[in-house]
Amino acid sequence: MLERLTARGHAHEDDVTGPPDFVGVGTLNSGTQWWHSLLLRHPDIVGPRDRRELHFFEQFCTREMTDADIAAYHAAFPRPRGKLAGEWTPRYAYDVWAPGLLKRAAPDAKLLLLVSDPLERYRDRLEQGPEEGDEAGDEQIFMADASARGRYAVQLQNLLRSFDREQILVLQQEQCLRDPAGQYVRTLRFLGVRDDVLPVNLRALTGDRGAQAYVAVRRRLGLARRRLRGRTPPATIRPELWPDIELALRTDLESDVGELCALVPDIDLTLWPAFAHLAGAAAR
Amino acid sequence: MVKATNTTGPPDFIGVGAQRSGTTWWFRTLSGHPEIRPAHGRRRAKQKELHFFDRFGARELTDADIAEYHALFPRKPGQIAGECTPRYMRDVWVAPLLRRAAPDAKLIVMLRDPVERYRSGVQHQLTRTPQRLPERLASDAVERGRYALQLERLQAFFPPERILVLQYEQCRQDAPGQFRRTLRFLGVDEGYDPADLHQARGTTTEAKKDVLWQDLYRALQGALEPQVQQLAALVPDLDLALWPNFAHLATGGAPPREDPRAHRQSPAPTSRA
Repeated sequence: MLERLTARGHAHEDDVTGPPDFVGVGTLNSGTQWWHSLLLRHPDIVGPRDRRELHFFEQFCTREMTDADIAAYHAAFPRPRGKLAGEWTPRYAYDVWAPGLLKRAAPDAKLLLLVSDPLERYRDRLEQGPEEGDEAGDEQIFMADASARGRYAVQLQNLLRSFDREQILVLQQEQCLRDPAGQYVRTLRFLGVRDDVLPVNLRALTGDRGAQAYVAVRRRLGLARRRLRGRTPPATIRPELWPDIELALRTDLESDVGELCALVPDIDLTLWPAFAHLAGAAAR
Repeated sequence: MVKATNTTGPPDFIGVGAQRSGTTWWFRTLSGHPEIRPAHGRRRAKQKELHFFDRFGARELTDADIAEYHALFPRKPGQIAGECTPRYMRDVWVAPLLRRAAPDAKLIVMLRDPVERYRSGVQHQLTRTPQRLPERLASDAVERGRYALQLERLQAFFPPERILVLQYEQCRQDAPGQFRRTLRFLGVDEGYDPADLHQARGTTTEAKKDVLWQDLYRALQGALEPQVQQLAALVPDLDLALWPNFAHLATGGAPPREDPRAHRQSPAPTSRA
């Protein structure tokens, strides 16, 4: 019997703190906020105290991480005894210095890496434009970032230099959209919590209906954010990739996608149309 | 105004990277050659870095853009023209655009130990001046050091005989020999002997050699090592012994556990109380 779950209340004084039990480490624009919010509706899972994305390890490209920093990180995860705590910051898999530090701060944490069709990701970035506070000079880093962050095998290798493969669950956004309940249960089992509870909204949104609802919500959020920043709302049609950029991205990403499939055999390439032709090659 | 005797057209050669690897030194010295003409930028007559293709990750390159690019390369009969923008190699969208805009151009790549490149590129800036988004600068600098990936990207759009890969450390060691090699590749008179060849210029030579702490050093070295190995397979005359952070790949030893520069620090100044 499935239970109806509600959002968790405020932290209690008798909460314990410590290293997170799980950390989402990637990837940008792949639905990490959606998946993390679904996890936080589980009765045995709590998020960090202040915000969901802590962006904690980014600062350590400018200085060394100390034991006091590690203690501060642990303090960000208060939870009732027996419950799991975790955050999700999509940069951690990308910044090469982050996984080693995460290993120091949370050696036993389970890592979640959510990936999506890298060409679609690039289109998302085109649609969104540079982030708030971006200066003109950052725009090229922004688009260059957009392509580099679609190289998932590189990011997974970055994690594997510090963590065992069994400590990492790689999820594919398109599979999560198609079968949210199944992939949710898979995530819960990986984290080691009871898997007989599903958020109500997840049960309602399965199959195509779920995917469409999710895309619609994302789109509305994107529009609202742009309006807040005083930008022109994007065209009603999502930008298409032009031939040069598609050729460049495909050329650049093919070997990475191939390597990803070798590392993560259950990536379903038929869900990434630009790379579907690699499906046979990866199986061989 | 460009003189009537000049013609414009696609560049004959393009330096594509890497940043902080001696490209300014090399390009300025090449520009002194009577048969070589640097680009005529919008801002000034002689411009090394046009950054022309930077914006085409967000929109399509049109034929009008290509015509605009060609107009930046005036030259007299018997001269070749070129520019050098170190970002071109790093930005994923540039290689196919270079093929469209300059299909017959020769490409010059100058590479330096990628950990030293990172150190020279951002370490001082990141640790001494507050940055708004330091992680973005840092990861961009790491990406710029993924040379094998970038070279393969160029090779997908240009034949190997039109890509010259130079090693900065070899150029420092044997500047005349590597310079003649470059002139030969470009097909200009090899007899040209620049007086100031040994006088390295540009940001590469600035003496800011901040030590990388162990976590950062190991992360950079570990992340870039597979790329260096792959690069060595792509560029057989790369001399890994000249790259202090990867020399063990040539000698068969273990990777350095910490920044070799940590031991090269001059002793702390004694107090003069």
